[in-house]
Amino acid sequence: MRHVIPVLRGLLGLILLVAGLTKLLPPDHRLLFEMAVSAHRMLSPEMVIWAGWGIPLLEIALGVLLLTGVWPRFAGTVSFLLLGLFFGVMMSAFMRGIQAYCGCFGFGEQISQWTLVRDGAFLAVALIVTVAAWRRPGAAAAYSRPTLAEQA
Amino acid sequence: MDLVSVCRQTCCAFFLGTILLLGACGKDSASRLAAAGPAAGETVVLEIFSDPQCGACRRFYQENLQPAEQEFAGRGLKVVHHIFPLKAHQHAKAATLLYLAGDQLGEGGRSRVLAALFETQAAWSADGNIEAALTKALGAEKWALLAPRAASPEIAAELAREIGVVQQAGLRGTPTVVVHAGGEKQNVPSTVQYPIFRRYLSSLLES
Repeated sequence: MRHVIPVLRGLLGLILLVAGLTKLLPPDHRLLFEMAVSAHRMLSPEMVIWAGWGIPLLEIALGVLLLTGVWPRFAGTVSFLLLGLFFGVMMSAFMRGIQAYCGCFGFGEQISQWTLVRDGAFLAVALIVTVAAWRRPGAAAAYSRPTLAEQA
Repeated sequence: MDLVSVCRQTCCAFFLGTILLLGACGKDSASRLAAAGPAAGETVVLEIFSDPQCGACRRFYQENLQPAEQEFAGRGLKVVHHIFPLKAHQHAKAATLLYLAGDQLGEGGRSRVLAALFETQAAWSADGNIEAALTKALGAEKWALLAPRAASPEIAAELAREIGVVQQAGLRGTPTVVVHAGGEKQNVPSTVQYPIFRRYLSSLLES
């Protein structure tokens, strides 16, 4: 278990980093991602434009934090909440029968059972990483600075 | 603080700094996007596969396509309609034949018939009386031109050709919206809000 958690954390970080980068590069992908967000009809157009920038940048930041092991509790919790939000939105679109795109890794992938299973698995990994970061002080410390007691 | 921790935090700060820089350069990236669009004189082609009796097709037509045609028609946007009947829709075939017969009304005739079909969709979908709906929307004179043309073998043959095109396209639903630009094609979601769709089209058309 000691080695499993860092591997899962690194994997989650890599996934978020790739997901964020593919939404911003090449530049026209950001507009396509905006359309994917807009198609859910949950945000106003102004908010969609903000989300078009904000979500990929947040994903990249979380990916870097998880990969480097800095602020593991914060990074794990925010990643879990973000992935939970994505999963909820996708499930809602799927249940309503809206012809929407996932936009998870670039553009063009329609929401299906497969995308829900995949994102559900990511959510489970985020939950494990977050619980591990909060549950055991030792586990949290393994990803960040050692405590004074441990240094002593 | 040990060396590993310092390296980790430096690495993290470097990446986060890069992200902030990327965010600050966002506006520049958006303007550079125009360079990926077609050069002056080139056309962005919007290809739409719709069924005249499909509600989502009507919504896309009225909320996105009509405003886009009005705004970008003179700026290089070309719209190609593939209107075809889905088997599940009882009156869609008759409506499609009337749409194709719109060529009898001269330039833009099919567009006028399509607009009228979508405008009156609720009425004729319910009672099947397309004649009454189109007569009200276009006038009795136009209906007199459309009806015999819709029953002609040329229009039936054109419908068969259109269905062939649709079958080759391998659609997963209606409406299907495909944007062709710069030698590439891109499917776009039909439920997109117009201001966002407009941003995308503008970025492709600006050069």
